[in-house]
Amino acid sequence: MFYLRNPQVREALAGRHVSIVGCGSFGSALADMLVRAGVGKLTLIDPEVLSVENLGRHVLTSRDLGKAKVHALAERLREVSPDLEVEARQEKFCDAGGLLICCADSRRCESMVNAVSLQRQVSAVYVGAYGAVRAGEVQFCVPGQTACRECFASFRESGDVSPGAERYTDPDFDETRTPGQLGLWGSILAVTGFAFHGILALLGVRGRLDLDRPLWIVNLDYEGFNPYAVTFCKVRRGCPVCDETKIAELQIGDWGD
Amino acid sequence: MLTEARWQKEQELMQGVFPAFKPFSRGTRFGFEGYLKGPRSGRIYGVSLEGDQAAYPQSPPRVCMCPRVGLHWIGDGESRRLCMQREWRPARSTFANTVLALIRYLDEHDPEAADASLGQPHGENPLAGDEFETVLNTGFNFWATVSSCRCRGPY
Repeated sequence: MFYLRNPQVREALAGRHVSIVGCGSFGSALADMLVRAGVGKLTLIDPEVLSVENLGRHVLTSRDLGKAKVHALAERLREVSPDLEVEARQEKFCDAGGLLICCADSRRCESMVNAVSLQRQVSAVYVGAYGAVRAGEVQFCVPGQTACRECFASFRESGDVSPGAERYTDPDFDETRTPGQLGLWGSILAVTGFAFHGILALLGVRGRLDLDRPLWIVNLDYEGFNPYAVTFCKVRRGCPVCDETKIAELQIGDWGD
Repeated sequence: MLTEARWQKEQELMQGVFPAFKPFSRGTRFGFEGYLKGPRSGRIYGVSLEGDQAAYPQSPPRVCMCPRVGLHWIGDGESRRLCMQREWRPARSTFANTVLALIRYLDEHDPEAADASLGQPHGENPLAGDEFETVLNTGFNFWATVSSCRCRGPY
């Protein structure tokens, strides 16, 4: 077995349960990395099927076209590790056990994962890239110790990570979808790689996670300075979703804001 | 998942800005009902903002309006609701600013007075004629009104 070269890590991860919500580019890559590291139990959640436009940014291949992403991915992961216990759920997220990893490109799904994380007091990790993939974003949320997802995401202006011009010039631009670009898969693997090592630290397998700076922004602007530079950010903790004392701060707001 | 503290705050905000909207709670459903007046047509719109206790504030309240204007309606039957292309932020968004968003929507889509009498793509004005006068004279009873609404769907 390939775990012969890392038996300690395998032993530490074999009993761990990780749920991956969203099995697209980031989710599939992360699942692959976790299984190769030795995670023993995975739950995969995603309602979609694999389509042609996914192939340039996914670990699955053309033989899986038309199949549910979760079932095809589960099959592939079992081929990587026959010992793996994997549950494939072709559905929208409503609940799951273990460490929650959200790679969905839906704010509402992120909010649901955040709610379950807070309710069950389990950690959650959010992995993604925004706009024209000029920045990757990884946020580690440990209930009671860090800011929750809403502490950050609800106060981040839409698209302020990488506004880009495409949203104004491309009639088909959808900011919730990662657009095509040269080297996209490399960018996805880079962000996923950073997230993967953070997750190992979160699971206590290797390294330490600085919970004072739980937000990692990965620079993916190759034409600018310091591509792949990671900025470790603080996030102010406490919002009306994770802290009842903050509910008093809710305001009318602006038009529809 | 809705907490008592959040519900109290939502009611406080609505009471402060839209006191005519009344809170309701039916099983797992809760929210506010009231009416808005079209800025151009002068037409009265019955409005219902309905959340689910298990999903709020993670999911926005469902916005139903009678009569419906515009073409931004999604879902069928019981789930038919207004889609305002508005980003929902659980830690910031509330029922009160959902009403603000609806007012802005009406500002864009409320027809001119002459057009309003011609009926709408999704149904005629249910409050036209005698019925309209009755509603105004007897005070607005939202559920009495929507129960007679001809543009069936959310109600």
